[in-house]
Amino acid sequence: MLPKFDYIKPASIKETVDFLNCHGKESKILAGGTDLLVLMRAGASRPRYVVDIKGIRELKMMEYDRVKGLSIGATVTLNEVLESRIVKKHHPLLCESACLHSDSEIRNRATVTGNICNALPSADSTPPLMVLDAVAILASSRGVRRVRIRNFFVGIRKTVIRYDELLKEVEVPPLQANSGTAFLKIGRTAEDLALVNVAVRITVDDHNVCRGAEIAIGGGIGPTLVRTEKACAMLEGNRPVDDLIAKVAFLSSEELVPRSGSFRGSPQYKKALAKILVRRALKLAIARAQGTCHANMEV
Amino acid sequence: MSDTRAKVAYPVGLEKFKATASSIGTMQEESRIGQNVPRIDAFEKVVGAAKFTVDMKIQGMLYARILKSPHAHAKIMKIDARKAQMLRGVKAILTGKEIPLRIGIYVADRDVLARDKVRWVGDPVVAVAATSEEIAEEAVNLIKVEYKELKPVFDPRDAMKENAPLVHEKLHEYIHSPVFLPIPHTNIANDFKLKKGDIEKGFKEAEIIVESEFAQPQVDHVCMETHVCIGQYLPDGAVNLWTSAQSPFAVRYLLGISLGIPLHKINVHVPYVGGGFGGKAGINLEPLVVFLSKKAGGRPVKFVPTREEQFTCTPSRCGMYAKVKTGVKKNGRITAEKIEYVWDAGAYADYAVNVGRAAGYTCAGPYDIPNIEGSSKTVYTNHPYGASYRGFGHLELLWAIERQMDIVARRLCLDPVEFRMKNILRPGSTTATGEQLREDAGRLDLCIEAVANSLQLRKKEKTTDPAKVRGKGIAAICKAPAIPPNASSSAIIKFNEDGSAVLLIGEAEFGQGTSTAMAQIASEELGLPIEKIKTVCQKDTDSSPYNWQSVASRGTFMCGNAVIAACSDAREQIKGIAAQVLRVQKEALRVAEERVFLPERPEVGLSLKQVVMGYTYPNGNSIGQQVIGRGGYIATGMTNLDPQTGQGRPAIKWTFGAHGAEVEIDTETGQIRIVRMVSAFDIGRAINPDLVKGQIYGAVVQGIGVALMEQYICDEKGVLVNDNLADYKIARISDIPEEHIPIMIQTPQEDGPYGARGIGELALIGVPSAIGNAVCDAIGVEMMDLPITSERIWEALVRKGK
Repeated sequence: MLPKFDYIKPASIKETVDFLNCHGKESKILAGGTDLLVLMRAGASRPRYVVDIKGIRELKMMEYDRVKGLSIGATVTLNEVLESRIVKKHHPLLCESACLHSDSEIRNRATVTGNICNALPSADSTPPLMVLDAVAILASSRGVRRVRIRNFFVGIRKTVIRYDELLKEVEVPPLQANSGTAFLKIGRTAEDLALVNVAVRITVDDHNVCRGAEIAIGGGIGPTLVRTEKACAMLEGNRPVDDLIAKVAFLSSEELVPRSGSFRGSPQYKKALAKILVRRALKLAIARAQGTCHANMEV
Repeated sequence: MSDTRAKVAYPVGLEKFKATASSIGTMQEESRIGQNVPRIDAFEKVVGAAKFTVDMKIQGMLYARILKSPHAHAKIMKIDARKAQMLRGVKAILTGKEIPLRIGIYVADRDVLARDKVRWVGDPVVAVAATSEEIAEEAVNLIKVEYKELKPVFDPRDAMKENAPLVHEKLHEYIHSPVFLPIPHTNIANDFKLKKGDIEKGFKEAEIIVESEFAQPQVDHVCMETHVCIGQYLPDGAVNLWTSAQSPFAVRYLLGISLGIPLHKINVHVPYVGGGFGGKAGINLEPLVVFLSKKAGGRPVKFVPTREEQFTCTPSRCGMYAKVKTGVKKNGRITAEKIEYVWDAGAYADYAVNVGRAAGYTCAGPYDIPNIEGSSKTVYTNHPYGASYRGFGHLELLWAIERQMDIVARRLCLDPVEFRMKNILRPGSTTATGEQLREDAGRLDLCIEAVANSLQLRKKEKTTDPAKVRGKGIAAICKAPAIPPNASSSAIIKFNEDGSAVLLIGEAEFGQGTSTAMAQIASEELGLPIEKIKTVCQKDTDSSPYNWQSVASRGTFMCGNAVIAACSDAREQIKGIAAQVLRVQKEALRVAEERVFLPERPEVGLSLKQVVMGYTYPNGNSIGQQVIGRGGYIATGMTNLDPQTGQGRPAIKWTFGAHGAEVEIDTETGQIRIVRMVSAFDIGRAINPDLVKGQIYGAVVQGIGVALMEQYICDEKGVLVNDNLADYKIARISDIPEEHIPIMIQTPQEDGPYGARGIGELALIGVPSAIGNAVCDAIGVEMMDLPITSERIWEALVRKGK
């Protein structure tokens, strides 16, 4: 059963931010509802107002601009991302992660922005957005604020969003030439939350030298997902040979501090998985950057 | 799943049954037995017209919510419900003190609501009925209970120790069926013992002795519809119940005897049921809503357990610990086996005592071993309580036995199939309880061969990815229904004015498909098109004929025999009326193609509709009456077992089979994928092969869940931490193999309907064992505990040093 609440259904972004301006502290935004309703049913969230943004036409938007990149509106579902030709063409990494996200029934409702706002370290949408250096666009009655995803998360279920703000879209900059990406995930079963998920973006030049790499590791590995800067720095300016990849993978997994006592998996196991997944994802992304392998997006 | 690859084998003996089947109808007609008739309930279910208890609303209905114990073991010191009482819309608040009785199917050990003390986290303590679910929930939140915590016990092996905290101090006072042996002033609810041959002599003869230990956690049935029920206790003492239960008559009987209500005053309605898997056998939450209704002055009260409550408050499957010691000669003949099973029954064992007993008398699995010492103890702990679960202890015992068979085979350097073949039960061999298997008991050897061949068990499969390895495993299975020696089923077939018929049976329809198979049998027996027979899927004990319980893979067998008898009775009545009209000998007539006629002069006959409501002559004179056939079947030849040796005849029939699995393991991550499954059963006769395949496919999905992911995880205080489907995983479409080959061996059972045996539970038991054996074949590590999670495989590989 859900706690009592008032249901608000604004018709525009302006109406929404005006409402949030007055009642933001007592409000929760409802998009897909796959997280919010679960939390409310468990009594973990008791908003006075549930603000349903599904009726706002401006938010049902997905477009690609050669300069800005890909924009994904707040009510775009994961299955819409998965099935989008634009996304497949310009940011296959987002398809790859959406494909491994929960199950088809949930993806029919759950949104990319909702997945970000829920701010679980195990979210499958966030590591790809982090390595692609996506930007969250927050609207409020005061105007618009842009926050890079890498600066967006503060803790478990905690983000930089203020009470009066609406995450109206995410903007994913265009992928550089000679770049490859990969997303890998392991749960307890094929349709589980991630024990560990890994997103990788790497750019190599014509001499197979790394000119930029990003690795993000999510899952039950700490309060927020981890961007392994130190490990990535090792790749910069070097040829990503197997030995180096193994070192990067090891170093990446050493940056994680999974909590013990989780019934989903022990810290040792999660760190071992992270090491394997970083290695595998790097190899895959490098092969894709070199054009020897294409992103696999079978649905 | 590849449907098209299903194979049907007809061994010797079946021809006779084909002849019997067709001799009833005309020879030209095609038999309905063995036909893939679509489910009779399919249309209603597909369009959403089928009604389940959860869909029901009754005028004046109230809604119940319950307050549950936060402690695993605690005395109830004080309950303060004053604030809740004052809430507008609250109509009844009920505590355990107001219900001074215990219920249960084999041991009356269950409080309807906790009295004096709570026994597990989630034990229902107070129940509220109100005009809405929201108000009831609000009221529950206003109730304050003071507890004094007691020391809990969670591991059944600890619970058997001296000075362990007692979960039931008054066990010695509890009423129980005489076949069970509780040990007073301990936590042992039943102590089953089995002795066959001379165990010491057997171990002396052995050249190699292998000892192993296995563990399995509690798991849930995960029915789609939770244990929903609506109860109404009218002031005149009449009780109406609507419940998502497998066994309407068991609910009525147990409610009647525990409440002292004459059975004719109770009517239990069971509409369609959203899954049972054993968890809805016996009696569950029904007494709670009945008592709430009584307190609310007779208004009906509905309780819909949430998914979390389904995990904690309604029965789970017991956990189990096994020790198996096998003595074997180097030639592969087993000389002795000592087996100890300890069951974690949780807080109540009313059903679990029989799970322990059934697993006890089949303790050695499908093997002919001359010397056996078996022990199977059902033990109380402060966990959620366990009860019946598809397979009734056999999935668990076969995890131990079939893993042990592979372990022993490896020690002997024998092929697992060859080793099994030297020891399996065959017609003529003697079971653990001293029963000599009949000639028509079924052929396990054929099942094992079929699986081994189809799976190409000895062929090593390669992978292209160097991190991945493959392995194959097989498991043999057997099971007899765990039923009392007097279990029975009845059937009624009533004809209508137009010559169509309504078939009444007591088997609930919870997805297993019995109703369709029964329609096929009636159609065959009466020579009536299946479209002209309606099997009533909704049960109520006032108008449905008696059926002991819809459990134990006995429905097609027992109810099928009852339907044959009812149809035979109807045929006799039809012939009796027609003989008089046609002025021929009754015995000379045949009923077929909606007529009754002389086979040698088919024009001498009458249509069924001329006869089934009585025959009316042209002048208005009438004879006969409505044709209503009745028939029944009662278990025959079963005996109670000797309390010291477990010897006797506990089986009405056996079904044998085998599962084979091919798995692929990522040796770095420990991830496992089931590549392929093959399952073969000697089911005697498939009345409806598609429904048999449905049982096999579904059960294997369930079995993969149990093998790889399902487990109750309780913290150190006994709180079930994964009481939802995000945290408690079951197998889904991505977890199951693309290829699953079901194989039906059909050696007819002489006393089965058209030779049929049961399949429902059989298809599940042994699935984890085959997978476990395949894992070992792949990575060379023996997995002893379920579930075989990726992390456990990874740990084993790390220990092995890769």
